[in-house]
This record gives sequence, C-alpha cells and structure tokens, in this order.
Amino acid sequence: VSGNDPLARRYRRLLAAYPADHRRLHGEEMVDVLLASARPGQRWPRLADAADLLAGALRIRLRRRPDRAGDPAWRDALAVVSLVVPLLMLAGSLTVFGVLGFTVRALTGAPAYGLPGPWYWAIALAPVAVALLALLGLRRSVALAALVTGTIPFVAVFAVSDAHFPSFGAWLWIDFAMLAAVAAWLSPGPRRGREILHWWGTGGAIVMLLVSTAVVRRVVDGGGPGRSLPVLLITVVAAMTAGACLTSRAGRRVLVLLAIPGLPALAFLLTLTGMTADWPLAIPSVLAALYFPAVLVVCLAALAARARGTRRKVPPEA
Amino acid sequence: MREPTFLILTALAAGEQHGYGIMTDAERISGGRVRLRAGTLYAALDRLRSEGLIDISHEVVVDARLRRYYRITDEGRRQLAAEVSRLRANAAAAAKRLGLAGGAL
Repeated sequence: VSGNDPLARRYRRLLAAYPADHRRLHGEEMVDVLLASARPGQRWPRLADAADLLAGALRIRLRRRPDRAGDPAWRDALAVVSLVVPLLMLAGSLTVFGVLGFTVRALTGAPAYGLPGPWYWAIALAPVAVALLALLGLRRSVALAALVTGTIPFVAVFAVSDAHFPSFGAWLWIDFAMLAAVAAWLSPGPRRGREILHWWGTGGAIVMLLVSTAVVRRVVDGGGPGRSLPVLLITVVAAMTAGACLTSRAGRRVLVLLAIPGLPALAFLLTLTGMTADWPLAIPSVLAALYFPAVLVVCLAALAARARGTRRKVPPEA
Repeated sequence: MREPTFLILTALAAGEQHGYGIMTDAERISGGRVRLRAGTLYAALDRLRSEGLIDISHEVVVDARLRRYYRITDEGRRQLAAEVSRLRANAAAAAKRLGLAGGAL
C-alpha cells in the first residue's frame, strides 16, 4: 500500500480532526502505521480504526489548553477577557444594579423601601469578589468565583419565584460570568491581562466601565436615552475602535469572545425594541453602553500587546 | 497506570522502537489480548511525552518515509518499576487468598 493511494488519502482526512501541530509532527507517521496494519487491498478505513482516530483526536484536544496550543493571540485575548469581564460585571453591579445606593441605605438605617432580597445581594455582590480576585491576578480563584457568580442567578431565577432579577438580565449575567470563568481557566489568567493592559489600561478600564454603566443606569431610570450625548459618544468611539481592532489577531479573537454573550443580548434587545413603541432607542443604547466600552478597552489592550510583540521576539514554545 | 500506558512503557523498556513496533510489541506482551490502534497509541504517546515519561529518540528515513523512534526516560522507568511493584504486591495478595501455589511471589 503506497502513501498516495485512496486509503492513505482517507486516513489523512480523518487526521484533520487532530490539532495542527500534532498533525505536523505525527501525521505521516500515523498514516504509515495505519497503512502497515491495513489488510491487503483495503481501500476504506475500518470503522473501529476511524472511531479510534477520532477518539484519539478528542482526547488530545481535551487535554490541551490554548496556552499549550502555541497561539499567543488566543492566549492574550483570553487573558484580557479574564480581567476585563470581571471588571465589567463589577461596574454593572455597582451602578446598573444600584449596589452602592442600596448599601448606603442599608448601612445608614434609611427606610427599607426598595431594599432587595438576599438573592439580589448575592447576585450583585459576587462580582465584587470576582473583580478583586482578577485585579490580584489569581487565575484559578477567578475561574471558580466566576462560576459561582454565574450559578447564583441561575438558581435564583429557577428555584426562587420572587427573585428580584429580570430573566434576561439573569441570562446576560450568567453569560458574562461563564465567559470570565472559561477565559480565566483556559488562559494564563488576569495577571497576564493586567500586564497587557498596564496599570493605566486597567485603571482606564475601571473608570470607563463605571462611567458607561452609570450612563446605562441613568438611561434606564430616565425611561429612554432621548438625545443622550454620552450614549452617542460612547457608541461612536467604541464602534470605531472595534473596527480598528479587526486588524489585530488578538483583537479579532477578543471580539469573537465578547460576542458570545454580546450577540445573543443584541438579538434579544433588538426584538424587544420592536415591541416597545414608546421606547424605541433605549435598549440598543443600553447594550451599546455596556458592550462596546468593554470591546474598546480590550481592543486597545490587544493592539498594545501586538505592538509590544513586534518589538520583542518571543521564543518558540517547546 | 492504565493498561495501554503500561504496555507502551514496557515495550520501550527493552529498547527504542517506532510507532508500529510499539503497536506489535504491545500486542505480543499482552499475549494478543490488547491491540493498540493508531488513535489510542498516538494519544498515549502524546500524553506520555508531555508527562516526561518517554521522548523522541531519533528519526530515520526508510523507503523515503520518515520513521520516528521513541525511548523511555528515567522518570518513565521509575514509574513503570513502581507499577510493577504494585501489581506484583496485588497479585501476591490475591494468590495467597486463593490458596494458589506461589502465593508469595
């Protein structure tokens, strides 16, 4: 059996399931082994061999983390996301969910009017812990805490009938928390994200996210954006930066990652907007104010990482 | 230690071998009971290399085809020896309880 016959070609097609670096190192070697153990005249892979090849590919892929796959762009994108998404959730917790106001009222003994239940507190305060852990650069703790943060609203919505939380908000919260957990688990973590962002980038992200979420809160409280200049500015600047970041490998990956919670939210909100005649512009604006500032910060970080990468030759991984 | 790992390390304990050699040797060692297929073999080789139990020794070209040889590392030998001791102790205990001859292996 030669290396170019139909059987070899069909085995190579199955090997496409393996990671590229594994195929480069072992692809032809595996084809040789498969051909050596084939029956004379065999033209098609045996079902058991095909299943074994696919199972082997799955085992190798599951065992590997992106940082072992040798793609610095994914690694950096995930690291930045593992820092910025917890910060976004912190900002949302402090402003959109009114944690600051409620805390002051609770501490000063002001009337309990509007004070939320324990589920609300759990949902709103958990991101504070996640964000602190992210700022400290504790990768595994961030992954675990974000996972718990994403689980609380899930339990609240489905197990507690009077949870003070809208179902769409819960889903969005779960999506972001899960993204933070996965990004922290699969990447070098928020410490690397902080290195990419620098102290000014991290500080800028916090300020920008707080401002944008505060704007969202005002828009929501005001019943719609009207001709809100801050919302317009945030949207335009962020959209332009997101466009610029399409030129960077890491930046494109960050956009893909943030689109995971962002795009379903966009679709949902646009549908909702069509049904709310009196409030046609508010919901997309809310999304823009929440989503695009995060994209902006992350894209700036990715561009900075790329600029640094061109100056410093990174040795290839073993 | 899972059986494919045990068989691969045992196959390499006697000397360097290429992929097909490991496959046929593992079948021989297990008395024809275990036949490692390519997907299982190379997933195991990938894992064992990442754990430092085996390494690539050298490559030769045979009939214009690259043949890669693998070798067991010192850590691989140590872990295989530990597994042999464990299996031997388990087998001795089982033989003793069954009252089989050679219970004290």
